[in-house]
Amino acid sequence: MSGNSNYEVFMKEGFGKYKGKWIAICEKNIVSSGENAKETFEKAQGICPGKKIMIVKIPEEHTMIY
Amino acid sequence: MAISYRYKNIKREDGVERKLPYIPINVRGSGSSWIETMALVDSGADVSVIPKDFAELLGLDIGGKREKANGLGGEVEVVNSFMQINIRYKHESYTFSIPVQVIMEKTRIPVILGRDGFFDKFIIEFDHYAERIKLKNVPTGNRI
Repeated sequence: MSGNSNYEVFMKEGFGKYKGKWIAICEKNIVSSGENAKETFEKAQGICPGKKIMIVKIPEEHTMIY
Repeated sequence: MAISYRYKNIKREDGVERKLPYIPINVRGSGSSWIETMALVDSGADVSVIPKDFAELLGLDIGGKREKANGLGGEVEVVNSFMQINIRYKHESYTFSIPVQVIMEKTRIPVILGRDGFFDKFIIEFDHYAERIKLKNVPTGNRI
C-alpha cells in the first residue's frame, strides 16, 4: 500500500496513549481522539477542512476475543 | 492481481507484540460521504461488526429491531444494517455492499470485517509468518 499517508501513519505509530479510543489522522498527524467516533471525526473536520481524514479505533491491550 | 497489506503490530504493556490483519477501507452509509478507516479482517466472524457510534457517523439506519448476537465475548444487543465498502489499491477498486451488525451497547471492539458479503468477493490469505494479508479478487463468473 503506498500513496496514502494516513495509512502509513497508522502502520508506524504505536498509539500507546490512544488504546481503546478513536483517533483521526489527517495529513500525517493525529489531529483528534476520543471515546466517540462521530465527535472525533467532526473535531478532525474542523481542524482539517476539506482534507482526507482516516478514523480508526485503536485496539486495547487485551487479547481480543469476540 | 492480489492486494497485499502488512499486519499491524501492537505492543502490549508486557512487551508482547500482537500482529493484527488490518486493511484500509472506505465505508459509507446510504447517501453519506466515504469515510476512510482501518478494519480488522476476522475469518471467525459470521458477519461484519461495527460499534454504534461509528454507525452514527456513517448515518446508518439503526432504528430497526434489536436482536441478540453471541461471540466468545458474550451476548450483545445488535441491529442489522448494511454499509458500502470500497477497497482501492493502485488501479484496482472494488465497491460493494455488505451486511453489518451494529453493536448497540458500549463496546471495545474496532471495525471488523466478517465473512458474509466480504469473504465471497476475494480469496483471502492470512500469512502470519510473513505478517501479511492478501486479497485476490475473484470475478463472479469464476466462482464454483
